[in-house]
Amino acid sequence: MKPHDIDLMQEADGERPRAGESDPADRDKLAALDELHELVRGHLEADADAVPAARFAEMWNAIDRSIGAAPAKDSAEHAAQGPGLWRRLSRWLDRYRGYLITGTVSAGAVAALALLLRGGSETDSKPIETMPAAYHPTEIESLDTPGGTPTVFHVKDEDGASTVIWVSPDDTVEGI
Amino acid sequence: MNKEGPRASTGRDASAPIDDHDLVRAARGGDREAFRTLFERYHRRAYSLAYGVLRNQDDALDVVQDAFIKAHEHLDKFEGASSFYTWLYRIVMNLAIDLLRKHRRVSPVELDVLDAGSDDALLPRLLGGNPGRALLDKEIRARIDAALAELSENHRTVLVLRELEGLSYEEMARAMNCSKGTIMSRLFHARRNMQKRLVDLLERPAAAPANEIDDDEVA
Repeated sequence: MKPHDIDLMQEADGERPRAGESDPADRDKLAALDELHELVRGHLEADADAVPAARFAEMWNAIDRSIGAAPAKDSAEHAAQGPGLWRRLSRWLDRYRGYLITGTVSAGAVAALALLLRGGSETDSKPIETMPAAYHPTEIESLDTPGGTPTVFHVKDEDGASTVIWVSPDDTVEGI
Repeated sequence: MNKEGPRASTGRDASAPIDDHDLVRAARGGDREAFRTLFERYHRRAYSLAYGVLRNQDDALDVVQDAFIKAHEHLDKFEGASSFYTWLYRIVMNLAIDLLRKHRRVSPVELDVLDAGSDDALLPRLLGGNPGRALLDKEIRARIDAALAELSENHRTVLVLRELEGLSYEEMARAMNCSKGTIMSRLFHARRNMQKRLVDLLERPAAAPANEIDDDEVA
């Protein structure tokens, strides 16, 4: 890297006095650093703005419970709609993914079946019981998965328990 | 963006913003609404930081949640020498970095030395000096997202700390437990790599970005 550009970067970051304003090429590079700063900062802030308020309302309820209080009344409805099961499921999958199967196609299959287990879509207005498996293990009488082989897990971890149905498509080779 | 208004606790005058230190004192005394006000003030900013580093929404949400719980648990250790948010972001950063280490699947090869022999140079401006307008362009947003995701974890972390939080090299060195020279090197490479990945945006006219999203889509 060019030592002069490192100096310029330090000037742009306020780590040393700006001296590169007189040279047009330096001025352009300083402007580019300012530009990149605005792009990155604006982009990250927009990412945060894109998260639905309900996710943060649910987060507050979890925090509130954790610090020893009952959920706040005005956001209690969000608690029932939140992605608690999703988060637990994805956390569990992250932990055990390597032991089960490799390949991204199966994640979609799990997601589809997990939707069935939840008993509704995210747009349902009816509150969802987010952790039924934690208290009443799911009983599965039959499972029809054409074109795939199902595997059912009852998983217990520090967060409680979940039932995971994993479908491996028959025409998929593990690891490919 | 991030225009979170200060929230007043129940029973307080909603029009008067309450100082963070007063809220911390109240929260220490068991006032949950005071702590909720702190949460309302800073959760999105904390999330920006966590998401910037982790690039995973669930992980970032988990980190922010854990950070607030941890902050509450250790409120008695907050001495007030810095702002509440400065204290909070350190907790967020530590948790995010811990998570990166725990989940690290790839160990990227990085140049963390200031190699004066290289001719790697910064590029001149890309977008005609209108980054705010550029951010309305979905394609540019997607490109920035991809460019950030392609950075190594260390390079991305240092870039986020600098561009989002405005930390000095010294503060970043302390946060990441490395030398100031390493921080400078990481930051230089992070910026240079971002510029390289966005360089063809030079060809786009900044005054009329393509794929502009509707005004009502912009929060």
